[in-house]
Amino acid sequence: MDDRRRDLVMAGALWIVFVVLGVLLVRNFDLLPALRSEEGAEVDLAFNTLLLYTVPVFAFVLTVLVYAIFRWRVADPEAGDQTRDVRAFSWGWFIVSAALATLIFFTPGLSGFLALQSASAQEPDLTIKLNGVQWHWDVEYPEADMALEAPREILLPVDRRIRFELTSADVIHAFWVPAFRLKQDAIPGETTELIVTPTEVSNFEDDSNVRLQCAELCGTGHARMFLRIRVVEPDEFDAWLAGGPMDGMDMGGDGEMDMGGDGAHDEG
Amino acid sequence: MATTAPRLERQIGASGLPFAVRGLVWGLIGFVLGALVTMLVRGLAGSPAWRTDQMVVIGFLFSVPSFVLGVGAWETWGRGWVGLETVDYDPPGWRQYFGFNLDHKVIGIQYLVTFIAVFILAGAVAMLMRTELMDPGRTVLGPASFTRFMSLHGFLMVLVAVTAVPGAFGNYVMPIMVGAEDMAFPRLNALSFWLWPPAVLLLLSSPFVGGWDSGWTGYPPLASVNNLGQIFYALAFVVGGLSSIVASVNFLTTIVKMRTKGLTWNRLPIFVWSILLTGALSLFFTQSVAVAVTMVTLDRIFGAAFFDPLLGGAPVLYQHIFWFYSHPAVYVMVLPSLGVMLEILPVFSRKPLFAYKWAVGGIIGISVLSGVVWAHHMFTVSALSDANAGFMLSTEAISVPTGLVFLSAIGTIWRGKLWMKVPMLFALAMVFNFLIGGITGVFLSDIPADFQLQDTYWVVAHFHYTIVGAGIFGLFAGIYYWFPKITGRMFDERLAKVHFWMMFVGFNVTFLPMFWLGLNGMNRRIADYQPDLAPVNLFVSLAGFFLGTSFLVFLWNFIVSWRNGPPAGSNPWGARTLEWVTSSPPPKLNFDGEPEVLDDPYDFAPDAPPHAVLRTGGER
Repeated sequence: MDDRRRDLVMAGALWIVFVVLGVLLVRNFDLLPALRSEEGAEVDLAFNTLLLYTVPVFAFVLTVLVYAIFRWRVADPEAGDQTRDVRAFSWGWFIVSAALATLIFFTPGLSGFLALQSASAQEPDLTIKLNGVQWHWDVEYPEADMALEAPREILLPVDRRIRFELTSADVIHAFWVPAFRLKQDAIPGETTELIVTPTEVSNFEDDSNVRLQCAELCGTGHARMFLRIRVVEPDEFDAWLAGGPMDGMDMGGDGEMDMGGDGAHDEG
Repeated sequence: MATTAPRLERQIGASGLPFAVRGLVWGLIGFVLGALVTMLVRGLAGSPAWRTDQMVVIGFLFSVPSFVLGVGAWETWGRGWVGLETVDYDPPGWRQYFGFNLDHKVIGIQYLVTFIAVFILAGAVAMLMRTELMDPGRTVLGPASFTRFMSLHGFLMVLVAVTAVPGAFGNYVMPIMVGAEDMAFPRLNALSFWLWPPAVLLLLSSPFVGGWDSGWTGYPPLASVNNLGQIFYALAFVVGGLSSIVASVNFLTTIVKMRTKGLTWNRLPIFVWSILLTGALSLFFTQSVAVAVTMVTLDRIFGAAFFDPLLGGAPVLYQHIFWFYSHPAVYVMVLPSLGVMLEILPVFSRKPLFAYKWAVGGIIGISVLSGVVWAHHMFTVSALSDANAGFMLSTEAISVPTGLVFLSAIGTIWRGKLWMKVPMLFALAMVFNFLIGGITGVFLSDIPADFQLQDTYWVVAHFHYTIVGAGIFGLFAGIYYWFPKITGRMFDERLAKVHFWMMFVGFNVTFLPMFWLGLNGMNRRIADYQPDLAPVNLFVSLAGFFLGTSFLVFLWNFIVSWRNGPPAGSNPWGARTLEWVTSSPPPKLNFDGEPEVLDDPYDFAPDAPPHAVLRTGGER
């Protein structure tokens, strides 16, 4: 009996060590890249909360594995303890795991989901229409009556709520700006939408995650079906909308993405 | 035995070309016949006679039964349909594996060797993919070839994951574990194996018609407009699915009806439970995916418009039908391996399987819930629709029964005596890998987090941790565990340990960094990526090559030990279940006597009665 207790105490101590190490790890290393949208904060909150919750769970199983392997390994087979079940432990495990599943469903799951829903219910400041085409995006700014076919780069205003209306001309594509976090499929025959508010002036050259990447497999050119994004001050954006593309900015017109000489079309 | 029909004297397949070759010839003839029929009908209807896609589909549908009859189903089965005497296919030596053999042990070996070969091939394709991804930009394949090889790799590996463990060990070991002489329906069993060669050969030939580029998921509209290889994919899925259904009928019937005397449900080895539930999943859900890919095929070849939005079709509908099967399918991939894991842990801990009833309940709970979580693969279809919340709930609920499997695993090793032989190493590695796979899945089930993670390398890493980390590690755990039983020989322990450590370390250093890649902007299924991700990708590729090399060590050991390994004896691990009560390999009808189960399979107390004994002599 003393032996049993000693094992429990030592493994418990090891568990605490693992938990502390784990928490230090997830608190000090930011796995996520720079966040540049308001709505994306919900995504990061959910991710980081889950990361924290998983530490004790991961540490628990790891503790048993490590402890058992070092404590009870034998060179030749011999009978172990013959316990078949520990009622309280099994029930406790079941109840704790069900409680954890319920907890993560409500928060950060449902809480984040509802927050995103209510954010998307607010009136947007402007609308941008995106049409996915194998393998580029056509962009339309309806308020300014501006349509860009296969642009290389688009401008977005900082701190304005933008509604993207997405559709596709051919196969399913998906909207994903890694720095904004959000993702939404663009489906032929349907219009889907996504609301996002950029929070920082930024551009693709400084951060490759400031790009509109197609995230749904759409064929040969899928990897390079991305659109550079430049988030600018609203004044600059308005001037651009009023006056058309500014000097020194390549707004495409060649009808193709930058395929970088990788021959996306060579095997048609 | 009194119940066995007297064997016919005539031997078939003992000389000349193996029946498998005759099957290929008949299959080709069937294909040409089907294509000609198509041309004839088209011609009579006044259309141009030649239409490749229709001819391929109809030709293949003709060729599969021709192939199956050609490999020996005609002699062992078909002759009976027309009132002639049937003859069993049972030639001696290596030839027994190359025809329509009804012995479940032969079929188990056929499955095992076939799907190891497919695994090695699909793994080689992964090496090509990682070569392309060593550098940003074009490396060796270019985007078109990459996307096709990626699709081929994904689909072949899915087939391996769905089939290898139940095919090999469900067939070889399970009937012995329940004390049966064979499976309930030996002919269906042989059929379930022989449906695979046409499907696999079709897939391997798909690159010659340009392959397909829509991944293993084959979403339309892309799948409606791409190369002819897409049809090869659909046909392989339908025929492979048929095999799964046929096999599952057999598993279910065998387990329910053919358990030997004394083998009550609460004495049933946990691996048998896992095969039972796997069979139930395959039986209920597989037709759904066959429907999905068939509808795409009809869209393509007969101008149906199920998924064409311009004609009123709904592309997203495909995803619902597809995932209605394909989510349960991931448990078809994992449950049998978890069964192997839970079978091995008690034996090498010399301790009963902890919380047996909870573990069984966990496996059942996973299976039931797996039918109501499919739309979590589709959160970004309509990102903020209310229904998503329900699927988030059901998906997170599945962590509870999954947790019970962990409860059983860690409860079993606690205070056991851990005998660290190679099967045990794999089983313990599975606990670790599946833990990471499971926990990272929780992030995907969370809708807000999923908006960043969906369709990225996070998903790639997550499903490799579950499907490879548990499913394929379980395959190798099972191979090392039952190798002495199946071959009668022991493998080289030192080489097996080299394989294990290379595979375990190689696997983790390959896939762990992929989580980071996904978070940091690398979407999945891409031939190219942003240059700032280059260093980590180079590392992943090199780690992947190391992982790939580990299987060469395995192959060498597998082949050499099968031929020359030292005799293993009937029970090298000191296990208790029925397959260890008989000789290695077991005799034709598995037991020299009537097996009777007396006690629990996992009682390792020194004074425990045996799980089972063989009664010999007297009335049987």
